[in-house]
Amino acid sequence: MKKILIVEDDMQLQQLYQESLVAAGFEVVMTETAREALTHLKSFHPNLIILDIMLPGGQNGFDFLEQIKRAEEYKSIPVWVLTNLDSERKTALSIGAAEYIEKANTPIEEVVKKVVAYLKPLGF
Amino acid sequence: MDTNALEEYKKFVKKRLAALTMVFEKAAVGDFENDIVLPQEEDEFTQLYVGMQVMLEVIREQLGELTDEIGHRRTIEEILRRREMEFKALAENAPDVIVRFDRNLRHVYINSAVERVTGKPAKEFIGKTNKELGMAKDLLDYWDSTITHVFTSGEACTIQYMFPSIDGSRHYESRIVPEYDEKGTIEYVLAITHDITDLKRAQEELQLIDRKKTEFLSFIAHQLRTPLGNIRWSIELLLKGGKYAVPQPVLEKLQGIHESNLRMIFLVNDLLDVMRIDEHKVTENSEPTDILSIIEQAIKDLQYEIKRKALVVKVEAQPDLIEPIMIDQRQCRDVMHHLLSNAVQYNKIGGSVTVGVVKKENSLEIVFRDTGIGIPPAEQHRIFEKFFRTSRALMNDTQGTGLGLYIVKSYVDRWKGSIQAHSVEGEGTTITVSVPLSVNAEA
Repeated sequence: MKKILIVEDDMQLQQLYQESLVAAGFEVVMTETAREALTHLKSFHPNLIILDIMLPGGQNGFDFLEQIKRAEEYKSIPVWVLTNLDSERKTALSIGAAEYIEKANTPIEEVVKKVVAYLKPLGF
Repeated sequence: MDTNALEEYKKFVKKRLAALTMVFEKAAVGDFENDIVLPQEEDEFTQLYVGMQVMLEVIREQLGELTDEIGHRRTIEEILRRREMEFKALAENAPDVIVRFDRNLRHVYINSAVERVTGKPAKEFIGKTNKELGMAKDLLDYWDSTITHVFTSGEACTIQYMFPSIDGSRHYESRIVPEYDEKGTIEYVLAITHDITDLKRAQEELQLIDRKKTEFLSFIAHQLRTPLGNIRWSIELLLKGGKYAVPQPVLEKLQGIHESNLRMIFLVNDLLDVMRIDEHKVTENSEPTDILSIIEQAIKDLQYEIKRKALVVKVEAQPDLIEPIMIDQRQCRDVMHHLLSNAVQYNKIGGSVTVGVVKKENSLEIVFRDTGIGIPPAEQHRIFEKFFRTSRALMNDTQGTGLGLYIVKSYVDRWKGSIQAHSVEGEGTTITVSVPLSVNAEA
């Protein structure tokens, strides 16, 4: 089963991710901070990371992204930035995000469709 | 000759000459006002008398003229003296520092205001150059080159700089103007220096307040997106039915909420777009973009109104001929949204919207054709103005910000594309947008 690690501190959004992605057939692990996500990465090997930029705990999404792109064992995991900031696309992609999606401007159906379309061909 | 006759003649001559003596005596002390009394009988002295009288009158006249001229000159000198005193009073009391430099860059005049700035009396500056007075190198170069420029070009210059006054480092502005003499040469330049520290501080504060205001609005807009986005996704999940299947009336309410929610999301987009455009902070990120999918999404976003008005919406394009174009996706999305939204919002019930996409040699042409209220001819040139809404639009619809086409035009201009509107009132409008195939990202 394909695995998705989500780094998102908004609780309502967590539920929405959980519901829609589990219904689409994915295993979802929810984390709220960069540190939590890093801890989980050690034991949970996701096929995709969905990452918010604004995070509590001292490290934001870009800090986390930079860190894992520098780490040998994690750098090949695709990371999608899902955010409501609309000015960080260039930055996100340059640090190594594979996708940049503006949450409020994208129907949830499209997000799910994109995830499915991305992970299916990877044959997990 | 008879001695008596000689004595008589001598008396006669003495008497005649005596008439002149008084006049000569007076003339010797500068009094030329006395006339020579001519004797009644004409004799050999008459010519002398007449000659002397004429001479007296000429002298009198010349003296008169000289006195007038001297008096005149004295008046002028007095006026000049008074003017100079007035000027000195002005210059000395002016809060600005007034300096006159000669061609050797020496101070030939400086008012007492300089003492308030430097703590040094004016007389310390006279005859010296700024270099001799110890002005710091960078500032000295700036001043000297400017003064020299005014001397050689005759152009007045204004410079701004910081100077260490006795109250600390302050901002100054100096206006340096040439002084022309009657021959048209520039012997001196005049520099009038004004303390602009307070003005600069006020300007900086204003800019700071403006920046903070924009940051605040931006922050609020972004904060709004979180709950708006959550509502959107929640409603969208509910609308999928399945375990969320609800009776039709509930479904309709949910759809209404979805529509209003989408409208709020679009308004926040507009707010952020307009703020960025007005602050010249638009960022570009050109990426390969599938314009057809953007148009499809725009249609989906407007599905409720399209359905409500029973509009027929068609996209005419040959997908295999339309390749991705290099363009900023967000800008492209906003443009397509607004053009489609106008085509829908001002359309009649049962009308149609056709979106045509045609690939041209170096560009993509996108045409939005609607059967709506149209644009009055007199107002067509104003449709891209910020906040402008046509009289027809205002009559038909209270919603609408007048920002859509302003945003569209801003982005189309950035892409170095073009946009044209053709409209027939009461029949419909056609908007044609031409986009270069590869939009260059600005640094």
